[in-house]
Amino acid sequence: MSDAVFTAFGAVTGAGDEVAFRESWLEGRSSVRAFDDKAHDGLPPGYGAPLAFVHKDLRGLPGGRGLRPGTLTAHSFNAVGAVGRALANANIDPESDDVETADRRGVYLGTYTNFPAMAKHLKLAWLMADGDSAAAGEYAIDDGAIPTGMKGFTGFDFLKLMNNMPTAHAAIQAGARGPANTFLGHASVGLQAIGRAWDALRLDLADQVVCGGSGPGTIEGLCLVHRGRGWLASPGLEPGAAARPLDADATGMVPGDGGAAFVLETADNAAARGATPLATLVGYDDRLVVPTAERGPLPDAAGVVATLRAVLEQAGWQPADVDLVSATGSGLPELDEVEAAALAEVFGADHLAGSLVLHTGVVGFTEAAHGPIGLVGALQSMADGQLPPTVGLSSPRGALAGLTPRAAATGRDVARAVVLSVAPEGTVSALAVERA
Amino acid sequence: MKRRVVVTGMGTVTPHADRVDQLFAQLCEGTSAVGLISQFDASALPSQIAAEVRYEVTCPDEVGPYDLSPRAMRFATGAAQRALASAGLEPSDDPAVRARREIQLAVGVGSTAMEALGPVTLRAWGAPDPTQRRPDMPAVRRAAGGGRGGPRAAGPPPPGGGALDEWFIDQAAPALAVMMGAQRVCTAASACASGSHAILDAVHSIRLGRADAVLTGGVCTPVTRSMMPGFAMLSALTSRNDDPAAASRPFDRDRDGFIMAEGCSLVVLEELEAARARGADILGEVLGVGIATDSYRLTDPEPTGRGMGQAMRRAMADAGVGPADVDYVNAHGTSTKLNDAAETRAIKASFGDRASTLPVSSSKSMFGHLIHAAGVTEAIVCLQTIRNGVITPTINQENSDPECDLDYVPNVAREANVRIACNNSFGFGGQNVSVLLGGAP
Repeated sequence: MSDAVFTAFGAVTGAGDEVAFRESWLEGRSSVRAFDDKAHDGLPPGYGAPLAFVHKDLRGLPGGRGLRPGTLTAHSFNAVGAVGRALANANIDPESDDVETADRRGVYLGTYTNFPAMAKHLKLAWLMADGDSAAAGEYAIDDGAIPTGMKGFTGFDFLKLMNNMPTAHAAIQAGARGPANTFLGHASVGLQAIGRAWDALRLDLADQVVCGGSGPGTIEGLCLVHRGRGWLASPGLEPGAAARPLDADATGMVPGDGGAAFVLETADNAAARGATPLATLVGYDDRLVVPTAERGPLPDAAGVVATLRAVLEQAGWQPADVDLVSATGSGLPELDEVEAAALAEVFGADHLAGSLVLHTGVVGFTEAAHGPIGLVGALQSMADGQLPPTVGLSSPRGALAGLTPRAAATGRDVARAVVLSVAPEGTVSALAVERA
Repeated sequence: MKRRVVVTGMGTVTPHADRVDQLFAQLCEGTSAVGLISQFDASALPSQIAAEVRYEVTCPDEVGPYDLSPRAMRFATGAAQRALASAGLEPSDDPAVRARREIQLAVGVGSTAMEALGPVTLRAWGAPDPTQRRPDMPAVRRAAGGGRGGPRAAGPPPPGGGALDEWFIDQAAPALAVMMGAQRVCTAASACASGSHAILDAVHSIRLGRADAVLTGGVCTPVTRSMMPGFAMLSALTSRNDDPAAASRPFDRDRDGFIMAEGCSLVVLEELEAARARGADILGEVLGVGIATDSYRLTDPEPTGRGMGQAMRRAMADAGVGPADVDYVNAHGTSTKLNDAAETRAIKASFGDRASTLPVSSSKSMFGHLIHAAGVTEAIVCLQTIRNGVITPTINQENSDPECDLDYVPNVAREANVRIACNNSFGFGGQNVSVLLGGAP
């Protein structure tokens, strides 16, 4: 097949769409704010970067008409927001496609794990409680109370639990009748979805795949889960300075909402429809590093190093050839320590001073959208020739201790980029893109 | 030339049995595994029956750092143990071997998180009060360990937050990677098509040369206090509670929904020459895979069966065979009004004149709908059909439906020389996958 090229992208983040995201980043502005709205009141850690994109923003985007708010979880909403932006930027109108085009279009999205209707499920758990046991301070379930507890639900609340729903929505939105898949598990699956989309092109299953990731990090379920795992940043911090990727003073993750999607297609298909390639996908790899405990930390940097080197080898690049390295910088101290060590070992701290970019300080940690948003940033740097500031990084951690943070955007001709996504549970994904 | 993909191992934990031969023998006898739900008292629910795993599942005591106590983890590691043993594959510490092994797993809905959350709700809201329409959510957030004034996120997890981990079924694939000694994991889902989709993805990994061996399949534990009434709300489940064994009746005129089922099935797929080189016992071959998306509605299949048919035709094209070469179809056959009629139309459209004489049966008539594990369990049934020369029946065929007028192998197993079997799996959201299986080359 011909090369796989990115011809468009779209994003939704705490800073807004991909354009607003870029402006915020170049200006060094964080979108992290105190949780002062009803949806987030009382959620740990007390701040984050909720989505600055609402349902009415879908109107006017391709395929947005049939997307009803009641059927969309936050995972799905972030996905269709990003997909809608990408389709619009790609000048794709699914309603005007012919059958052959639809048959050859796929959708591959990484969405971590669906987690809708938390309030309803909590209420169900409460109403299922046996009254006598509750009076004694014990929780026991009265199965006869299930129908009462279910009264607040609709069937759609359970349909929405199906983890493939973001992709199902996006396939309808994009008029895609080719292959579709939803990648789950850990936060690195956003890049994995892109890597598998590349597979679909190489296997001639599709000419064009809408791919990317969605991650609603500030929803109730994930904030509570991550609090339970001890992953979140300390409460009481100044929100705008709380997200500190690869920084020695980071205390944990700052949750963020996001979605990023791309139109990845064969160069032949792009040429046939008159689309201008932005970049070529030239390397992808993923692997599992078995952690020392179930939810991390990773034992060492070896697996991350191996993943990065595999991607460089596929691309045929030396580390010094890479103009931009987009890292994870989750803010989790143990994970950042490993990532910093891996980056330093592969690229060297000196090279990273002029190539490392981190967006967690701008929009928080966006779960499965994190890697794809990093790729959005890389493509934007290829287009505008800017390396944005390393927002939130003032005291680089561990092996990167000698690195000088970038206080402001600087000009750089970016032709080659590597994007890395490392999940706390030990799954690692990375890809390499070259300006078309 | 495509790298050929063969099956060298099979492992199951299904409602019938945790051994493939026992499962197949019961299916040949037309035995239903459906019964009244035993895991909790479902007598107040509209659908009170399911196909549960009612026996003690044997699984490893320990797998790396992973918690094996969740039901789905026990099923997955138990099935993996059997599949890997069947394939004669040992875990490897050799990086070169690990780099060529992969896990491709579909994981499904269902957890006990809500039950685990119960104590938190009592702390926050006191005794249950059905008249309370909008409980104080910030209070439960604080009870779960949240809140701006809360303690630093360190130390032991607070009760609510830790309990929520029950919701996630994200550690099964990594645990299987430890068991197999695999470097890559991929967890994916496409609803009811997931199990076959996992096979398709595994085939692609081998064909691309990324892997030589993939442990693939699906696991699902949806028989829970919330999922049973929830899927009943979608009008997806049968309510034929008074006759569990007769409740799942795919293609029958009186079908009224599917039976929820739980379990896990896994197969080991290998590149043909790699399998031969290590002297593996080859059980069958994946000849072709096909995938298509309806792009229609979230809950309903496209009524003409367009996407379903495309999946079948793509699988045949991928295998380089035509309708006359296929001897048997293991249908998705859920026992819902919409699916069975649409699938029948799709089979007719895909197989043409051959459709009227083509044996088509639904294993779901006997073990219900294993959701994410369905496709791979039914692929195992196809392989056993080819190996044993017996087509398992569709039981509960009593009244014919004019919209379902194919040969569904009614009620009694049939001896047949099946060289190629087509396994169909179609999911909510309009995802369709077909897999063509053949005998050992």
